[in-house]
Amino acid sequence: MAHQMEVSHHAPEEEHPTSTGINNRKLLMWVFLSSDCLFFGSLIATYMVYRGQSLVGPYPVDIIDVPITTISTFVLLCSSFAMVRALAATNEDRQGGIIFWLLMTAFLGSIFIGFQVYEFNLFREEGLRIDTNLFGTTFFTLTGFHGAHVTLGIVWLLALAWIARKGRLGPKTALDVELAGLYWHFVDIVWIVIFTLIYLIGGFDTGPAGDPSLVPHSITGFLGLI
Amino acid sequence: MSSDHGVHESRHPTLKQYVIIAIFLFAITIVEFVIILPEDFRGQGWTIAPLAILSAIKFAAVIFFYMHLKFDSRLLTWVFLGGLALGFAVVMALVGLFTAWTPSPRAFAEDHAKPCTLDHEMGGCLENKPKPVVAPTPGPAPAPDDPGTAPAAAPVAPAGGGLVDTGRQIFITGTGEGAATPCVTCHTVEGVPEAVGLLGPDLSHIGTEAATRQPGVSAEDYLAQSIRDPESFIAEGVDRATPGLMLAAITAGLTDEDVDALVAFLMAQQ
Amino acid sequence: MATLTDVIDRPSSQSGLWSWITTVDHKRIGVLYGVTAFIFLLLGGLEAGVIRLQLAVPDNTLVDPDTFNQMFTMHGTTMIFLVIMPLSASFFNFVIPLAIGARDVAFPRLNAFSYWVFLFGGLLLNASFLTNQAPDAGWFSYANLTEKPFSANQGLDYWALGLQVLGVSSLAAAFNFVVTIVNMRAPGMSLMRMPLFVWMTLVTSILLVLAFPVITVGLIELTFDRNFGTNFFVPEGGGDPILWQHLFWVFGHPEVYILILPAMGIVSEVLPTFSRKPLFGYPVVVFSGVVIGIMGWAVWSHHMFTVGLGPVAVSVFMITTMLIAVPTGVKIFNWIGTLWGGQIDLKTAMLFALGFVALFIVGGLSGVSHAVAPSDNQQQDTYYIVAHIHYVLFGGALFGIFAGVYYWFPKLTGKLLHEGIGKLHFWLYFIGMNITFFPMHYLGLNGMPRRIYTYASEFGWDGLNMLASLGYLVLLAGTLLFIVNLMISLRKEPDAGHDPWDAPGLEWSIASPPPTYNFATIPQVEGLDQYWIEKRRAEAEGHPITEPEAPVDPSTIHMPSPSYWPLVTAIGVLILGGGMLVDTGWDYIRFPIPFIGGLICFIGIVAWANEPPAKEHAGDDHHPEAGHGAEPHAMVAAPVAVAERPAGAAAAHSVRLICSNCGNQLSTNFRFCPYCGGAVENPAEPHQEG
Repeated sequence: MAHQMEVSHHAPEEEHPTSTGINNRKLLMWVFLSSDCLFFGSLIATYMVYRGQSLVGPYPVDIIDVPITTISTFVLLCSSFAMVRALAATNEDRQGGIIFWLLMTAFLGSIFIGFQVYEFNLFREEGLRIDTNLFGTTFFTLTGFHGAHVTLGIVWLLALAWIARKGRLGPKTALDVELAGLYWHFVDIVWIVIFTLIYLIGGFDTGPAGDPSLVPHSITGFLGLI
Repeated sequence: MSSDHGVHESRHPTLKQYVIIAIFLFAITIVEFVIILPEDFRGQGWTIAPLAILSAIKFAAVIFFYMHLKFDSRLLTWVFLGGLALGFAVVMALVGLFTAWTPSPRAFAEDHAKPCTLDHEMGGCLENKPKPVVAPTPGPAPAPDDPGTAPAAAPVAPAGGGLVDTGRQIFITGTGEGAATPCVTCHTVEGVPEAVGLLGPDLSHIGTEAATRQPGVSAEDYLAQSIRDPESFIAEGVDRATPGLMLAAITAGLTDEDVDALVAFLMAQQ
Repeated sequence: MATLTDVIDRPSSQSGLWSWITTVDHKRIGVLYGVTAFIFLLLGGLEAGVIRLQLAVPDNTLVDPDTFNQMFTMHGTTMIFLVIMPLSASFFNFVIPLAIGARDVAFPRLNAFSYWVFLFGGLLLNASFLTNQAPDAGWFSYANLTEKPFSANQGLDYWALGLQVLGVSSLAAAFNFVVTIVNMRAPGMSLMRMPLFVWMTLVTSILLVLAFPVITVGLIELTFDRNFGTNFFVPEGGGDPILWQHLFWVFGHPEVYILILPAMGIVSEVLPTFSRKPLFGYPVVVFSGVVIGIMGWAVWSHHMFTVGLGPVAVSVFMITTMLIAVPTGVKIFNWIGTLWGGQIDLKTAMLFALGFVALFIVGGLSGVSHAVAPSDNQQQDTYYIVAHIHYVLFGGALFGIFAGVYYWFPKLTGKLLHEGIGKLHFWLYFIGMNITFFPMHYLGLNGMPRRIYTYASEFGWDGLNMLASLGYLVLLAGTLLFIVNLMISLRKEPDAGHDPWDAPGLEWSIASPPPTYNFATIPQVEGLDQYWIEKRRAEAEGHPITEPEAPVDPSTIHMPSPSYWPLVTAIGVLILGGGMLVDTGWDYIRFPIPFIGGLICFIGIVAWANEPPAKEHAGDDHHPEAGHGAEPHAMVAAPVAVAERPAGAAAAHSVRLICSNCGNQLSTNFRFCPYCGGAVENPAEPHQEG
C-alpha cells in the first residue's frame, strides 16, 4: 500500500496542458481509488461469503455494540466535514484555517481509530480473536485494513499540516490538500458500507442454527445475505 | 473523454452547501440507527433494503459533493464508478456462487450418506466401503447398494485360518522383498479397509468366482496361475484399458508359500 | 526531513552505474525491465529444462518429487510474473511515450520505483532457492495444499510475499500508464488515432489496476492463514478452500489477458508495417480489445469446472467463455485482412508476428475446447491444458514479444538485429515450440496428468515425452542463437537509420536511438498512422523525408532529473514484504522487521516529495516558495524555437486522393488504400504512384 502516499506530494501547481484537461495527479488518485474499490470489494466478499458460517461463538449478536459504533461513525463523518473545510481554507488562502482544519480532521480520525482500538480490545477480552472463528477472521481483517487506511490518512494529514506551518499551502498548492481529501473521503465511504453491512445488517447474526435466512446454499440465503 | 471538459478548476460547493450535506449525512445515520433500534426489527430481512438504500444515498452524497465528482470532469466519475461497479459485481457474483447457484454439499452428503458401523479392530466403516468403479467380475454379485444383503463383515475363513491371515498380510503389505507393490494398490476386497485400489479387477468375491472361470482348472490352480503369470487368464468383462499393467515382475518375488497363503486368503473371499 | 534533502543534491550522473541506478528516463527503465526479465526468462527456461529432462524417460530418478514440484511451481510463477509481464512492461516503458508523442511518462520517478520493486520482488521470490524452501504448490497454489500443515516450510510465504511485492510494482506501473495514455497524448491524438499497441496497453493497465487488488486480498488471507491462525481456507475452521480458487481466478483470468493483450498490440503494429497497409478494421480491433478486457471478468470460473459449482454456474461460465472467443476471433480475422493484398515483407519481426497468429489460433481453439464443460472434465489437470497454456503464452505472448524485440530494437539502439540469424532463431522457435508442445495434446488426452514427476512405461507416454524433451533442446538452441544475435548486433556500428521499416508510428520520426527528450517539438497528430501520413505527403510534394527530426541542444529542454528516492522507497517495500519471513515468536511484535521497512518507505516518500529540483534548474522555472515538491515535469518544455513542420501541412488537407481499386475518397495521402489495400491515384500528380 506504499504507493498511495506518493501521489500526495508530487508537484507544485504548475498548470500544463493534458489531453483531457485533468491534472495528472488527480487522475492518478481517482484511478487508485477505483482500484481500492476492488480491494475492499474482495474483503467484503470474503466477509459476506463467510457470514453465518462460524462453527463456534462468539457470534456477532453476542459481541457487536451498534450504539458505540454509531458514535464513531458520526466522528468519521465529522472528520469528512472538517476535511472539506480544510480544502476551502486552502483555496481561500486562510493560513490559520488550513492548519486548524487539517489538524481537526486528523484529530477526529484519531478518535475513530481510538474507538476501533477500544472495540478490538473489548472483543479480545470477550473471547473473539482473529483465529477464533470465521466471524473473527473476516471481521478483524476487513475492519483492520480499513483502520490501516485511516491511519495512513492521518499520517498524510499530519504531514500536510507540518508543511502548512510555514505557509507553503495555498491556492497554488491546493491540489496537495484536495488529493489527501479525496483519499480521506474514500476511507469514509468505505466505512459507510462496512458500518451498514457488519453492524446494522450483520450485527445481530446469531450462530448457524439461528436465523433461517442465514442458512447458505439457498435462494433465501442469497437474498438474506444481500 | 474529449478535451473540452477542461472545467476541472471546478466550482466547489459553498460553506452553506457543505453544512447542509453534513446535516443530511447525520440525519440519515440517525434514521438508520432508529430502524434497528427496536429489538423486534434487529436482523430482520426487511431491514436490509432500507438500510442498503440509505447507505447508498450517503455514499453518493459524499462522492458527488465532498469529493466534487458532480463538479469535476465526467471522466473521473466514470473511472471511479467503473471500479465501484466491478467491485460490486465481484461481491455479488462470489456471494451468489457460494449460496444460491451452488448445490449444497451438505444436503448432497446427507442424501447419500450411509450409517457407518465402526469396525474397531480394523478401523473404518464396515458397510460403507467406497463403491468400486471397476466392476468387472461377472456372475451374481450382490447389489452393493443394499446394505441389507451386503456381506456384513469380512468373510470368516472356512479353513486354515493361519494361512489366510498370512495371505491377508501379504495382500496388504507385500512381502517386503521382491514384491514392492502390494496387491491392495490396485485391487479392491470388501472388508479389507486397505484394499480399495481401482486399477485391477475387484476381488471381493473371487473365492466363488474363481472356480467358474476356466473349465478344467480348479479354483486354487486358477488363482495360483493368475498370480504367477497375470496374463495367463483374462476374465470376461475385465476393463483392459492398460493391458499388461500387472506385470509378472510384480509377483516374481513371491515364494511358493507366499502364493499358497495368498490363494488361501483369496479363496476365503466368498 | 527537509534537512535531509537540503544536504543531498539530486543525482546528476548521465553515464555509468549511478546514472542507471538513479535514472528516471522511460527508455532506460524500459531497458532495465527488458534485461532483467530476459535473465529471468533464462532462469525459467532452465527450470523448464529440469522438468523436460526428468520427464524425457519413464521412471526417471534425475530429481526427486519435491524438487520437481519446486521446478514446475517456480517455472510457472517466473514465466508469468517475472518474464511475460515485465517484458510487456519493458515495451510499455520504451514505446508508449514515443508512440503518443510525449517526452516521458506522467510520473517518471514512480516509473523507476516500479522497476526497482519488480526487481526486488523477483529476487525475493527466487531467494527461496537459497534457503532450499522454494514454493512447491503450483503457480496457482491451491488451498489447502498451501496451508501450514501441508506446506510446513516457508516456501509459500516466499511465494505470497514475493507476489505481493510484485503486485505493488505492477500497480504502480499500471497507474502510471493509465494516466500517461489518457493525459499525455500529443495534440490531435484522439483516442481513435492512438496506435493499437497504445490501446492494448491502456486496456492491460486498466485490467491490472482492477485485478491486482483481488489477488492482493487473496494473498493477504493466505499469509494470515499461514502465520496468524485465521481460518479463511481451513475447512476445520469452517473456511472454504474454494474461496481461494475464486479469488485467484477472479484475478487470474484478467491476468491471462494482461499477458496476451500487449502481444496482440505489438502484432497489430508489426503486421501493418510489413504488409505496407494500415490495420484492417482498426475500430473493430480496438473495440474487440476493449470487449475482451471487459468480458475477461466474467469467465473466471471456467478454470474451476471440476470443483462442483453446480449446473447453473457452470452453464453461465461456459457460455461467457465461448462468447469471449468471438472478439478474439474478430481480431484474428482483422490481422488476416491486414495481410490480404498487402506487400508482405518477411522480415524477422514479421515472421514472429505471423507465428503469433498461427500459434495463437491453435491455442485459442484448444481453449474453446476447455470452454465446453463436459469436455473440460476430461482435460482438467492433464497435459492437454499444459499444451494449451504454452500455445497461448509461448506461441502467443512470447512470439509477440519477440516480434516487438526485432521491430523496436533498431529504434532503441540504432542498430538492426541480424536478419539471417534472426530468421534461423524464428524457425528454431517455431519448429521447437511445435515439437515440444504439440505432443502434449495427445499426452493429455491419453490421460497423462500434469505435475506428475514420473510415469511408468506401460502407460505408453514414452515416445511423445521424449519428443517434447527433444523439442526443448531446439528451443534452447533458438534462445542461445538470439543471445548471439544480440551480441553481434550490439557490437556493430549503427546501421539502422531512424526509420528502417517505413513504419507508421510517431516513434520512427525521431533519431535512433532517441534523444533523451524524445521529441524536440511535440508533434501535431492529424490521423491514425501519423508518420505514414507525413511521409506520403512529403513524397507527394516531391521532397521525401529521409532524416529524423533535427536534434536540439538538450539543455534547452527541461527533463526530469535523476533521483535516489525511488530506489530507497523500493528497498523499504522489499524489507516491508520480505521482513514478514522472519517470525521472532515474540508476544507483541512477532514481525518487527516490516516496521523497519515501513520506516524506510516513509523516509523515502517524504524525501521524494521534498526533493529539490536539479541545481541548474533551481529557481528558474519553479515557484521559489515551492521548494518542497518539485516534480520536474516532462511536459514542461522550455519555449525553444524549433523548426516548424513542413509548410505543406495546411495545403495537404486539400489534396484529395482516390483509390484506383475501390474508388473510396481518402482524406490523407496514402500510397495505398486503407479500405482495400489497392494503389492510390493522386489527382494532383496522376502518374506519381503505380
